[in-house]
Amino acid sequence: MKSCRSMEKRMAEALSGGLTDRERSELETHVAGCRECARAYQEYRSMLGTMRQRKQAEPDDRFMNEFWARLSPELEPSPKKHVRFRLLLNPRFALPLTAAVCLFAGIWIGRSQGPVEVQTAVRSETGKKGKGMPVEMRTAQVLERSQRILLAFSNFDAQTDDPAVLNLPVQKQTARSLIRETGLLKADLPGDADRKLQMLLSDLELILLQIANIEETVDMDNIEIIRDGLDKRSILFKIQMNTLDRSNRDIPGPASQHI
Amino acid sequence: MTDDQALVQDAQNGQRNAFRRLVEKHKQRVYFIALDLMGNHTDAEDMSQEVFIKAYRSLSRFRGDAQFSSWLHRITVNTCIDHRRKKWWQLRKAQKSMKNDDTNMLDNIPAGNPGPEQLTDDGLIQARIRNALDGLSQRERDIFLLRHDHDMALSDIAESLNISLGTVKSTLFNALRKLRKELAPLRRELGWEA
Repeated sequence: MKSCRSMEKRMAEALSGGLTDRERSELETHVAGCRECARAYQEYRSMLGTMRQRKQAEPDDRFMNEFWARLSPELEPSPKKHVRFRLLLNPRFALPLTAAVCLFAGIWIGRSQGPVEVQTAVRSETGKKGKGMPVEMRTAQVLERSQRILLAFSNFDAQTDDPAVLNLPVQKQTARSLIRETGLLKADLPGDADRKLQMLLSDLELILLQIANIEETVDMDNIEIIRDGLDKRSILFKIQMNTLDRSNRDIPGPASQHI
Repeated sequence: MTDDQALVQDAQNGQRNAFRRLVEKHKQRVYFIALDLMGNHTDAEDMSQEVFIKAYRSLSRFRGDAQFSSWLHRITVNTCIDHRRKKWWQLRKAQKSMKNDDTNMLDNIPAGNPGPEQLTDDGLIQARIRNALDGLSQRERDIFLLRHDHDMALSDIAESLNISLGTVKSTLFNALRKLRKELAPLRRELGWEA
């Protein structure tokens, strides 16, 4: 005979419409021979009866009478140009776009005018120690590249964005490369380095590790975990503060160095 | 062919009036689901509008494998959950920015003091029901109401909330237990005893 506890679970399923005929028959047999369960089952039924008496506030007359009148204009297709223009004004798209344009401009100018710095940067990006590049430059580079990945996760909207926008295989690969660089950077930081920066790099390593190990199918739960980690540790905020701090101290970032 | 199927087919062929009839037929149910998920009239109204815009734009992809109403209800749940998630993030950001203010915005929601309408039997039952629902977690409340108030299929709930069927069932079980625990002491008052 099944336990009363398992039968209670089955009662809930019976009332919610999730039982097979065999399970239902087992439940009925049990309930017929167990007074406690019979009472519980009856109470569950009564409880649902009470809950069905719940009243919801009716929508007002305006909703009922004018709904179509207000909906109808929204169904007209909007001109594409207008949508594109609006997207450009939206900070969610404008900021990453501006950052990407600046980055590509920096790389292009750097390649055409500053071969020495570019070679160092490339060496660093492939995971080798960028001995020729000052630690502060490497820090700026790691933070800037990490920021781009983290913004992509932070801004991703499962409802409206195409999952391909996230490009998870590329993000994972970049995250792995950044984990290596962050590790090397932490080892190269001077002993008296800013404690905040050390903590930021450690937090960053954790988040990048999550991204590097994320499944390649877009799963909102996994993305939420990453966002939650970002939010709890305020990583994007800290990166921003670090950037501001560097610009106040006139330390050039990677893009400006290339220029 | 059901009434809805014929209307959907006409709407897919570009007949705006057919879509209008679908809207008129389903708007109230969509509103009630949105009201349960959003908790206030203004958001419920906005969400209802958004749901029908989304439905209209993806109508060509509706193949008729499921009922139109089930499809519409899934869009409703998706839209509301997504909006609620965005709102929650905005609220958290706003709370963080209020560094010097010790008050918690979430705590400022007025407590449900009984009003004059609660002095009647019906008002009393409504108050008990509200209290019992308030004792559930957000997810338990959503799933319980979608199943037992809006008659959504368990599989549709699982799909809309992007969780497994097992999670839906176990959450429902927890919700039912909590509700019974909350309401059982009032069995006489609620007329459970014959």
